[in-house]
Amino acid sequence: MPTRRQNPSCRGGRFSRRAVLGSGLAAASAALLPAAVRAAPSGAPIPIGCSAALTAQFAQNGLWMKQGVSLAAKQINDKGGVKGRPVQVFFEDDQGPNPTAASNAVIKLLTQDKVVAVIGPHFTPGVLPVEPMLSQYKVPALTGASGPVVTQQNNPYVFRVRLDDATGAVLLVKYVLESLKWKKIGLDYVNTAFGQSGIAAVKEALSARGVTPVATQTHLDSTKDFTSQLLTFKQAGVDGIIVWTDDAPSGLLVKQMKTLGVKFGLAGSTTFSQPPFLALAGDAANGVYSVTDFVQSNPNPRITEWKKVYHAVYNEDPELYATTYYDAMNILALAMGQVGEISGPAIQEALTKVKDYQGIMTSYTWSKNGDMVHSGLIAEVKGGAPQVIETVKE
Amino acid sequence: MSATVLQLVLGGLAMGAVYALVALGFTLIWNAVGIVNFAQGDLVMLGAYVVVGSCFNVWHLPIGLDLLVMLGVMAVFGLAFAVFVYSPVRNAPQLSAIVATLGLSMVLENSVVLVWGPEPLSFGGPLGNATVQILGAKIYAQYVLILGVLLLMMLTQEGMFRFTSIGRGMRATAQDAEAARLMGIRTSRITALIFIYASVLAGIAGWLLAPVFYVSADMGVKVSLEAFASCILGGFGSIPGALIGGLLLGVIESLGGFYISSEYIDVIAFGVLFVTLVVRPEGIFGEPQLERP
Repeated sequence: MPTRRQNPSCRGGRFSRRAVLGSGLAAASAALLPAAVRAAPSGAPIPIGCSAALTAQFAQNGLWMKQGVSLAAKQINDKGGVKGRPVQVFFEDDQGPNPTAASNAVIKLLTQDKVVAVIGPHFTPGVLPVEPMLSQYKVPALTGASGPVVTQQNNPYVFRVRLDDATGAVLLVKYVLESLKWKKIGLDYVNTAFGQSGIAAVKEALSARGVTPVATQTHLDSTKDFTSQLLTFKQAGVDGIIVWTDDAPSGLLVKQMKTLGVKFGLAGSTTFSQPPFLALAGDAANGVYSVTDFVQSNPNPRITEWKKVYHAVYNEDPELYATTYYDAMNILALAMGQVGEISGPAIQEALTKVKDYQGIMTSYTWSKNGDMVHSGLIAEVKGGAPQVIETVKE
Repeated sequence: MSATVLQLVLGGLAMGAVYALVALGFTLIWNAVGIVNFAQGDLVMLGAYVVVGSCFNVWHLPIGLDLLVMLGVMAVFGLAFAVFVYSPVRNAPQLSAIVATLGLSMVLENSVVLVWGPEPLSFGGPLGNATVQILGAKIYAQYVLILGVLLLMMLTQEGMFRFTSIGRGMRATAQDAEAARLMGIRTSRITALIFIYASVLAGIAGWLLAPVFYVSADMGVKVSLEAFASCILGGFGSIPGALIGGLLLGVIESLGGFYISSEYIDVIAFGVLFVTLVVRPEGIFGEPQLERP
């Protein structure tokens, strides 16, 4: 495995078991290959930064992100690296939606590790404060942060490798109005840059179709009791609520909807199709709709093949984070392979030329504001697993 | 409409009961040794992880036994807390002891991630998703259990403090450690017992909370903040104050969220706290003098 910087607080427990497993597999596969086949990359390593939530509430997501990036980097290096040089990924902890920690992580990657490109931060509140640094140091970043504000800054060094929430909101609103026939709609969102900009996009999409939400509620990542919010929606007589939130509140909200016995439906952000939500919500997850980029149960052969590859290394199925950032690392390698001398501005320019790159998640094409993903999926949870109902394009 | 109010009030009381249990732990340690234990919320989290992460998910202990095993673990932890964290700094300035509890809080939050993994754990608890009907309002059964346990804990604690020699020793140590020592009470042992009791109390709160919240490394943070506010509202150091402060805060949050705005839930709760501090700085049950030796 390429040299990776372990965050000290992530040693031990499952981290170290995985690291041992990973390096064991790497050593085993290297031993099996005849020396002639192995095109070991030589030359100075290319430093790539990865800002991930390695500790705190979102550490599981950060771990998946790290696994996706590490797997892609290992495969790139096994094939001879980029222009004969191995890629070396420096991981830093941004603690998820924490603007201060994300700024510290990225400034360290830029100034001390002198990386030529950054993967992450993943969370909208983490990316926003980092954007000026990226343009100052002329280093591009590939992020999966889906808040519309991320690319509204018109920063040429910011590239988004997931569906923009503004587009997602339009697709979801279309679905709930046309297919689910909801008339009275309530809105609920997590009060962070992510939730605020997501719900603003939903409001805009609703008003474009002449619908005014009958009730709007908000919560925090730490909110545990949703009784007053759910009773407000009940009193307003909503047919359904559109929710833009993170993992922990998503599970509690749906669980409490069930215990309170409310009758309205729920459609929401990607969160509502991902493993943490499904594990936390249990039975209560059934019947929940979401707009998403990736669901594990997608029968597409591209996804089933990817699941096999990932499972062989990490002994679990890949989810959104691992998949997004596996693709991001590969897009980065593709861009680096096309430039003369590897530098931040050269990679930035090459990234703007990405067109119809078929990754695992989707096909990536750069568009003017930095968005690279232009289609999404509508999923419904059935029998505890999200099922793709339709693929929707911008 | 009245069913809605009842639902809101009972939901608020249940949340408040949890704040009160944690606030009680704050109060005990404050009274005994004059420090605010900032790790009290994390002890709740530790209790929840022990019961869900190990007793239930790994050892598959039946409901009831899991609670006993967890309480045992928490008691041992409480003793270790007193011996290894509090004891070394007991003669140092008060601030050092407070910083030590902050340190413990960080150690706990990161250790549980290493031991039980970063993914939040889900737990059905003894009652699952059962609900009960009270006067037409549908109430989560776990909320009723939380309120029942709080009542039981209050009665037990009151009885212990009034009628047992250990309880009287705890009260004496809390009022004046030096005088208690002169009266032949082994105050260091009593102090250790108070830490054990506070940890066990937190463990019970964790067991009660696990099915309502998820078990995650940060589950203690918000509870701890609200419990601290409850103590101030009720009067710092007062046991009935911790109880009433907690319940009041829970109900204010719940009703405020519904009738005013969920966006301002914290503004409402802490606004009430602010007004209390201005009008009655010693809190509802607090005594006007705040000077401590």
